[in-house]
Amino acid sequence: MLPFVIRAEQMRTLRAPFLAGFVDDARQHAQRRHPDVVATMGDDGLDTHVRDAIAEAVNYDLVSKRDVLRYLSLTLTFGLRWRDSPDRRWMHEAMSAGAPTPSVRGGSARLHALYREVLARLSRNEIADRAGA
Amino acid sequence: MKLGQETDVDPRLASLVAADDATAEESAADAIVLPCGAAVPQLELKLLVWNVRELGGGFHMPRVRPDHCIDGYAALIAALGADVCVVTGLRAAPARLVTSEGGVLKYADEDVDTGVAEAKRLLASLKKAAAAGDWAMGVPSDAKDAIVYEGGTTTAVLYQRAGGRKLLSLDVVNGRADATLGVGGHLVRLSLELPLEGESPLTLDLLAPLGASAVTGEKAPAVTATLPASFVLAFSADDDLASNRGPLDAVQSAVSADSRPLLGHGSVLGDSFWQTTTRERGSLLTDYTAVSAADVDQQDDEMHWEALPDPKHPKAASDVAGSLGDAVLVRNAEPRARYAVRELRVVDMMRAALTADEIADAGGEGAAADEDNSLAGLRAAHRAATPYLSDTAPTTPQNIVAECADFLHLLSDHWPVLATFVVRAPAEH
Repeated sequence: MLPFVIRAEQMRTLRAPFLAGFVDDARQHAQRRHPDVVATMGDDGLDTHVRDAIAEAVNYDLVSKRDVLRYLSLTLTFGLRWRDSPDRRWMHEAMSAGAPTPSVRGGSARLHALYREVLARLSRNEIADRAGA
Repeated sequence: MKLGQETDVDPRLASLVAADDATAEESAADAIVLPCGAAVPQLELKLLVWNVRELGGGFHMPRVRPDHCIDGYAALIAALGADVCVVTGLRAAPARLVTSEGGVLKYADEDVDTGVAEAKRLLASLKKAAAAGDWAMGVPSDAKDAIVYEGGTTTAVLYQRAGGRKLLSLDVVNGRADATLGVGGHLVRLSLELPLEGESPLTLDLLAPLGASAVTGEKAPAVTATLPASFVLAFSADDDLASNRGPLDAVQSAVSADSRPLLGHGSVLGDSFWQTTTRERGSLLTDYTAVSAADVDQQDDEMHWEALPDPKHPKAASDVAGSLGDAVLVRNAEPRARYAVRELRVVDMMRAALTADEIADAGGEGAAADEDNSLAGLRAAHRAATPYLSDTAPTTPQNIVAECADFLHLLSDHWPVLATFVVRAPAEH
């Protein structure tokens, strides 16, 4: 008997409603955990941000719901497109597959390491806010 | 009401940590493309961490604390509904042993497990105060059943056995913590089995400092286990963690614990008001026990030169000064986050020691808490048993606060920290 295989078309069909539900979950996460930031975005702005963040997360090899929500939190705090920001480029490099720490393999592990580093730097007041203050 | 000033914490730090805790509900192993959908077995647990200063005797504390003090610990643990309680600061007080050999008397100093004996009194009181919990206690011991100390100090873990919970192991692990922390280099590791209906039992791995800084020449305790992959770490130090992040950072890096934000409130009660005064102006007060220690109005009237200003006694509990010395850290290093902290707060001992009316009089703010009034009756017992406290002192807010502080100092200068967190099953392989 052939193993049961989910073809790409079936995957897309399965994935679409789940992703729609996930966007709702991500919006709720943003509203609950980052209400100050969300208040400045408006509904459309938040929706766009969530979808862009999910797209970026996939590019960083983040596939689990938890990792994507954590990544979303970071983008709500520090903005999107870290690659293009001189102040945030170190975060992009930490998330890239060629990250300097050899033991950090896989997007999830890299995100974990980055999250810890961000918290450590914030506790030492080493990260300026988005306005550059 | 707060103990000490608000700490200067970047709000983004607190926001990101809270967000991270919230996402811990989501399994990192559940991919977006094919959601698992299955509920992850988990249960909520309350952990109380209390550095009971010099339990068993020390420079500041008596070997045997009065019954109302021991009952106070038990009453608070019961009122908070804690499942597990880490009690640090148990001392082994030296005792002079006299032996006779052939008619010749010999004297020798030997440490006696006075702190553990006090902890057993606490356990006995707790079994009465919260009988349904079927409480038990674990203390690190070696192969010969001798209590393991570091720096003359050890730690006890009280836990509920109700519902089939049982102690799997209690070991000593090398925490590699910085000696300057005042917590020594070793940690206690407790593994507790937590039955879950219809599921495989969960396991809680809890770490806490074994003792204090090792004394020069002290033999290091035998290490009997290694650090688990994921754990909850109860941390307590004498340093002010709010003003000096060094100790906390050192522990975090030593055990690779995930960051936790500093608590917004302090957990160590500052010096008593008269002690603060004597420290600042040593020539002013030579014997503060000459008047009622809990009657600060009388102290102001009778013990200060008119040419000097009166000390500023707190009129409201929120003005009581303190510092931050306790924290709870979590490390999740498995595909599925095993622990998620729901709430972390300092137990407001001032509210616990006040009656409901006094809380209002002393400017109590915020919603009612589980600890409210839980020690008020025992504070009255303390007053009755303490010669220098007087029933006749005017019941002004500052006198009430002063009496509470006097009672609370006998319990400990540390206020306990209550962590509510979720324990989850590991991901299936």
